[in-house]
Amino acid sequence: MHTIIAFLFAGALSGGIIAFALDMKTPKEILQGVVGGIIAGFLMAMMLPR
Amino acid sequence: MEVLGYLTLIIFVALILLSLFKYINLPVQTVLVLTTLIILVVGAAFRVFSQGWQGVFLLPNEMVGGIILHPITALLAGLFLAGALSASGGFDALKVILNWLQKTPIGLAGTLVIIIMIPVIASLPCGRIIAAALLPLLFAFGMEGGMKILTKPQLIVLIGAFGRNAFGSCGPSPIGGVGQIGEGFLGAHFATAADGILRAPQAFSLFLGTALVALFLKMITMKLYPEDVTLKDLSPEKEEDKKEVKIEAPFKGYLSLIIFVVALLVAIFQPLGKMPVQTVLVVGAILTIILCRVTIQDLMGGIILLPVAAMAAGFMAAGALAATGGFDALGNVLKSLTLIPFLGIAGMLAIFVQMQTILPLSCSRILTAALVPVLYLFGPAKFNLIDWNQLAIVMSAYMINATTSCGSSPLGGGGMMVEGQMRAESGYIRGAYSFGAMAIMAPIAAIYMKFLNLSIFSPDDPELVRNLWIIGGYVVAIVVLNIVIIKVMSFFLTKDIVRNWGFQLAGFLVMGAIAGAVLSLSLYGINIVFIIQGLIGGIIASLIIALMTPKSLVPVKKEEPYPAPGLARE
Repeated sequence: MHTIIAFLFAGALSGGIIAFALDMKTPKEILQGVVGGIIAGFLMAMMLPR
Repeated sequence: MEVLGYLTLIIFVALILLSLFKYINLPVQTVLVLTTLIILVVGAAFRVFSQGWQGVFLLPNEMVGGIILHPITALLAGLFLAGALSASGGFDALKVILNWLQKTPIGLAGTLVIIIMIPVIASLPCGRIIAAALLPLLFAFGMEGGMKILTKPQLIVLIGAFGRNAFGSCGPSPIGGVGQIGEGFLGAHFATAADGILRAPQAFSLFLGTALVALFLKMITMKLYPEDVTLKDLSPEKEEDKKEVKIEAPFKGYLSLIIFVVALLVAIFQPLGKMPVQTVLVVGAILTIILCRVTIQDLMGGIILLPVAAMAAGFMAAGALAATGGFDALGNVLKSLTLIPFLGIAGMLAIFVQMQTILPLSCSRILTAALVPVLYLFGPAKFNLIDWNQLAIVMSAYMINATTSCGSSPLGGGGMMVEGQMRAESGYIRGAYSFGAMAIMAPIAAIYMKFLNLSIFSPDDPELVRNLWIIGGYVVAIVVLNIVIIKVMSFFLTKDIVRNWGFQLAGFLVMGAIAGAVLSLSLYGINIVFIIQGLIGGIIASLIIALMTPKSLVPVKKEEPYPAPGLARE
């Protein structure tokens, strides 16, 4: 569970930063980036040993 | 024996440096095989006098004994399965899924974030496999690719960030990943290390490192080298001109993707009982061949031999060094560095974890195979400079730094695939990639190992909730510091190449110092002396890395309209 929380956090933070770096700066686009990052973080955490 | 060790170490380092600076124009693998032969000849000459002919005959056996076969066979099996996936159209199926994802509420931004993170999630044994498959898809988002969705700067960030993620994804791979070399050594103390003790710290830091590399590319690289990417930008055209590229995949592509994911999950979680990862992967590949009707020729086309050759050559050189006392000599040299008062153990380790970004080779496995045994010797196994938990922390920081090093290598490293795809001059992404590995990934991996992974793999201090908050605090602090430094560097950039490079150097030094200090903090807690030593070690490492980033790139020739003037047909 702790691994999942850590990766959701890392994913959300990374997703927001990447969306910004991609010049997608409206609140909706940043939020979409954050959600994309959360999905990626969740998938990654699922693949890790717990 | 001691003199022989120093001599063989000098031969090894000299040949690696000559290769890196292109004084020897041969593939690194060839250089390493030559190095092995030279070391064996020198070793044999010494042994004739010290041990007689019997010692000479034992030398090849000792060298072969240093070669660890498990990561090589796991890598081969992983490439076998990935080759089957590629040959059966599995990556086409993945492209269809990504195309569909774009139309869901997560939109283009969310889809691009997922695409960038796919390599680390898939965790293939070599990032080149997924990069070769998906880079053309990323290119398609731009003007020349046909979709005309993204501008030139967006495409540079997308391709660059994807490459950063791909060329670090071999580290946390459970199917022959680079990290497994370190996990094998940590298994001497941590009973379940082979389950993947280094995977989470590497993946966690790769997530955040990828994001900050994207930011670095946007704010620094594009300003430093404004004329060095020849991608075409979007022309101001009507919305209806934007095309939707139709992506299709055969049924066997979906089937092979399902087999791949199932094989990966079985290899990681072992639901059918303990079995070698190689067995699972080979069974998955055979199933793909049979069910998806992949021919052997197709399969061979999907297999990339470079990482296997690199790993084997690295282990050969490492075996020769071990047999002739080269590792003992390197251990002694590094141990003597700890006697320098302003450096100490903390400073030496801060330099050591950045070693492969300092010496970036075409595949990180080459030096990892040689340097991980030395790191292991720092622990309780020989020099006793650090305990087992500290060794795990240093190993995680070292490993992510090492596995990402092929991205910034000028010797046919993975990053050159990225530069080729974005039509950039060689060296374009080097600064961004090495900054990401040095300033973000190494310290964050150490923090993750210290506060979360050690509690999972060695649960003496199971205060996981408290540790999660600490990780969150450190991550936010490191990320914010990086953003501030990148923003400051970007603010001062002008058209003066030398001045720009100076500001980039300053940024590297500041973040190198912070990375070294964070490593010391995660190893020794709040201890001012160790923190200052780590800080100084970090500055030395970052100085060497920054000095290797190009001031400017060779100007790209402008595309001539075809037929070029003078060549027009009469």
